Amino acid sequence: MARALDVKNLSIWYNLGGEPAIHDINLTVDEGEFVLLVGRTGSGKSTLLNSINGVIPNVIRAKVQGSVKVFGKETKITQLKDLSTLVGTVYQTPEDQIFSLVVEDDVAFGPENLALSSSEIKDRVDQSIELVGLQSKKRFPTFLLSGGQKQRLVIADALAMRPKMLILDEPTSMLDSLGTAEVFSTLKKLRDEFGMTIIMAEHKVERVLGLVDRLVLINDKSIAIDKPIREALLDDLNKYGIEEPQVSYVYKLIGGRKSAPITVQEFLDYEKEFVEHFKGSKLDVPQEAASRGKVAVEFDGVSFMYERSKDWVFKNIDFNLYEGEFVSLVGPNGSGKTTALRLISGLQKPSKGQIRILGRPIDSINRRELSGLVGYVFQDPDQMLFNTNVLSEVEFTPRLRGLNSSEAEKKALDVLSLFGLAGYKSENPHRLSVGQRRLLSIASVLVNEPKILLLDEPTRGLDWETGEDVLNFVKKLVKERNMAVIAVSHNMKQAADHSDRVIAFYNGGIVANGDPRSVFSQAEAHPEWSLVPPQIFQLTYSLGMVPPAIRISEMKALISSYVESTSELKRDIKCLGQILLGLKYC
Amino acid sequence: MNIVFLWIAAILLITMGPLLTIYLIWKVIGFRGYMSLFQFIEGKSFLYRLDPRIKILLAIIITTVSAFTIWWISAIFLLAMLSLYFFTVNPSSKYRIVLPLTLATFLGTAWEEALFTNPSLLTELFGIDTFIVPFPVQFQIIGAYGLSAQGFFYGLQIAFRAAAAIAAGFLLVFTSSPADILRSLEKSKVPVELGFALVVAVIAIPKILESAMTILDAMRVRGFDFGPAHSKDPRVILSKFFQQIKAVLMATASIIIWTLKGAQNIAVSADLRGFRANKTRTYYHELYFHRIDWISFALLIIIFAVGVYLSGIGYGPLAYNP
Repeated sequence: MARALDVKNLSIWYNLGGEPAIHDINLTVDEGEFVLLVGRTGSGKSTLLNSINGVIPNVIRAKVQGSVKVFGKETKITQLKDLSTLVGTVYQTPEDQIFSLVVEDDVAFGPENLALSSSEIKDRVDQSIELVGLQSKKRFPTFLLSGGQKQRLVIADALAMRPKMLILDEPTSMLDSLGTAEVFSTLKKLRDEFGMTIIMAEHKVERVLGLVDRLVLINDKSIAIDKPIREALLDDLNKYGIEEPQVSYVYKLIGGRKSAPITVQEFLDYEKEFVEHFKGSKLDVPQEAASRGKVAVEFDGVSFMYERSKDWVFKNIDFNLYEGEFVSLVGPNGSGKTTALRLISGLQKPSKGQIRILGRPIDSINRRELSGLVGYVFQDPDQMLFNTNVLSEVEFTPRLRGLNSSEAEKKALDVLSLFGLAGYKSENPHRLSVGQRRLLSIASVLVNEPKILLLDEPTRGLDWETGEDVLNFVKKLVKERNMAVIAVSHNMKQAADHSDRVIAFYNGGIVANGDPRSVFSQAEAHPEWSLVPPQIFQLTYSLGMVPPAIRISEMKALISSYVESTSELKRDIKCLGQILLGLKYC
Repeated sequence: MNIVFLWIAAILLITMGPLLTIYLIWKVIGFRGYMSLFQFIEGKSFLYRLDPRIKILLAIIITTVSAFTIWWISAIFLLAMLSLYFFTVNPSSKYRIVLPLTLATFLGTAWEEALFTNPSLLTELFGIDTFIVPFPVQFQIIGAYGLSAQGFFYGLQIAFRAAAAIAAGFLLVFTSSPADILRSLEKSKVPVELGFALVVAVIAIPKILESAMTILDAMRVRGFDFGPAHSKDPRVILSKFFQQIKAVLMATASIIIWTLKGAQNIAVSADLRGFRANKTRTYYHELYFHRIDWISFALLIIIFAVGVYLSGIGYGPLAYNP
């Protein structure tokens, strides 16, 4: 197999004299390989990818030491136009990579730049669109595509340049579950049918493992793990802030040391003993506390339709949110989750029905008072940050509420200390890391001490560890302040780990509302809801355990006793064998 | 007349034009309508089949002929342009956007010309300039002399020209894809970088507007009230006004940062797809003049020639004096 990529002793500095963004990287990739690049946010994954496609140093100026060769060509001295026919690139945000309002025109943009004949352009456009399965959307307006379709279009754009290698930098971080599945199945097709060399940075490790050959983990600017995927999963990836598949984790807990399973089915096929042991067994889970706090939010027959639209976003929905409760709203894109948050925050008014906040009709509460009761953290933290430094960002709301500058500053500094951001008070908010920006957006809302907190995809774009930190922090506040929290989420593992209750939206209504276990059980019969429960639920559900587990922690005690019993049994069998053979007594 | 009355009348008249224009653009069209202005949807009528270069030429000829002929020719052009929108996809939705925009242009231009045209020009055109509301002398610093009957008529006549040009311009945006506009600009020897920048700008406007709305929403949920002051105390009203100005400036800074970040990503993505890799580009859809384009071209030349003729026989840009 030919060598597709050869990176030798690569170090890159954005600031001369500062810390390198990546340090002494050595990496080779053969033609046809699919490599998964993982690491914490800011670990250097994007820097490495941008050095492979030549953006560093051709577009982004940086000091580069060492060499990067793509199909034998040194990227430092090769023009970007020549590299663009070797390496296709797909970034996070599809909207920044689409330049036309019609699908086929957008795919044609690259070949037109290469000054190809119109018949050649047509061939490339047709083939690329077919490869990503957008044939029926060829003349479709790009702005009407779904998130998944837009990212598939961006892949088609890259493929139209006929590259030998495709690199993708967190291509699904802006997509929901369905869009993510669309992108991954497109990549699978490219790999299986066309042997495309692919290098992809991605946080959704569990969902992509079935596709990739190798895992490369960057930690602290250097490569810490570079192994075939099943071997890599035997290492402790959590330690590096990477989310492991739950079945691989269970496999290691039961002493597995050979080849880690990736899917629930693989686990069921390989671990027959475990399956037999747990089939139909009972799981002891602590009973939920029966008492609930006061009603914080009440939806009473609420319907909503956008102005000048003919379609209901949702119709006649009822639900309550109680003080001290963490509720996750789940469901496909466009099912009304974010609209529900906008209604509670008063940004939209219901077309029909009534919303009550702490028992009062929402339309009887003025804007300033409402902002003191309801805090809303948007999907994109950058759109919530409009001040010139971190301190004034958090001071903004207390000042609006009429606090004088010293009171507002004290309040802001208290909250910043709570979030570990006090050391950055003079920094421009946009210079912080993505995780810090997310925390700052929450801090700037929590400074108002709201009774109700609305979080729209609070972990989107964050690595697993940072996402967990943010959610644990919020949960701690919920307990301390008896707040009610609603979080929109596409991550079912997080919904299971952190929520008291899950509400599933689908097709203009609420289809399930209950504790995560009951909602996931109902979702098993409704694939159209696009809810993929966590692996531990799928595993224990298929084993017929009563009730199925939703968190690894619920299974730990059972697994420990299973490990003990099997190791005792193994020891006994070994001993018996030795006795029979007359080797020794034990 | 009472000087206080004149001051109030002057301030009201000067601010009413722009406020009415903004009201029409934002309230009648709505945010979604404004966004849809820049979102091309393909159609099948002759307008969509016309080469974009013909539509660019149409806008140029309408603007030029309107400029050197009498006002009623511009009014005819305006009616003709507006009637062409019948042939677009979902014409009612297009009218919902184009009519308020054209009206906003019409009112804005009429207002500006009526109040800001120099009285000596009006006297020269009409032989007399009778002020209905003369403005206090301090307003002359900004070129506003007052509202006169002649100024009013003059403003209306000029407004037809601007409105006709706007209606012709939007026809191009509604019926040609940005890619085709880019191709036609390149074919017309416009530098590729400039054409690309224009097209990306057109595509980016809805995203920027959306982002602007989100940032303003973020301010609202953090307690900022963009509503009226709910007080008759001028100090409260003034303080609220300055607060709102400050909020808009803060939001603008945030939008600029967001836009610049996006712009850098767009530039990198374009380079990665070989943009400016070669001195010339080829085209997926080659633009050729078809029969319908040649006929339209001939018609436009005739319109231009008739305009020149009419101007020559006394229907030039002279003001109509009722």
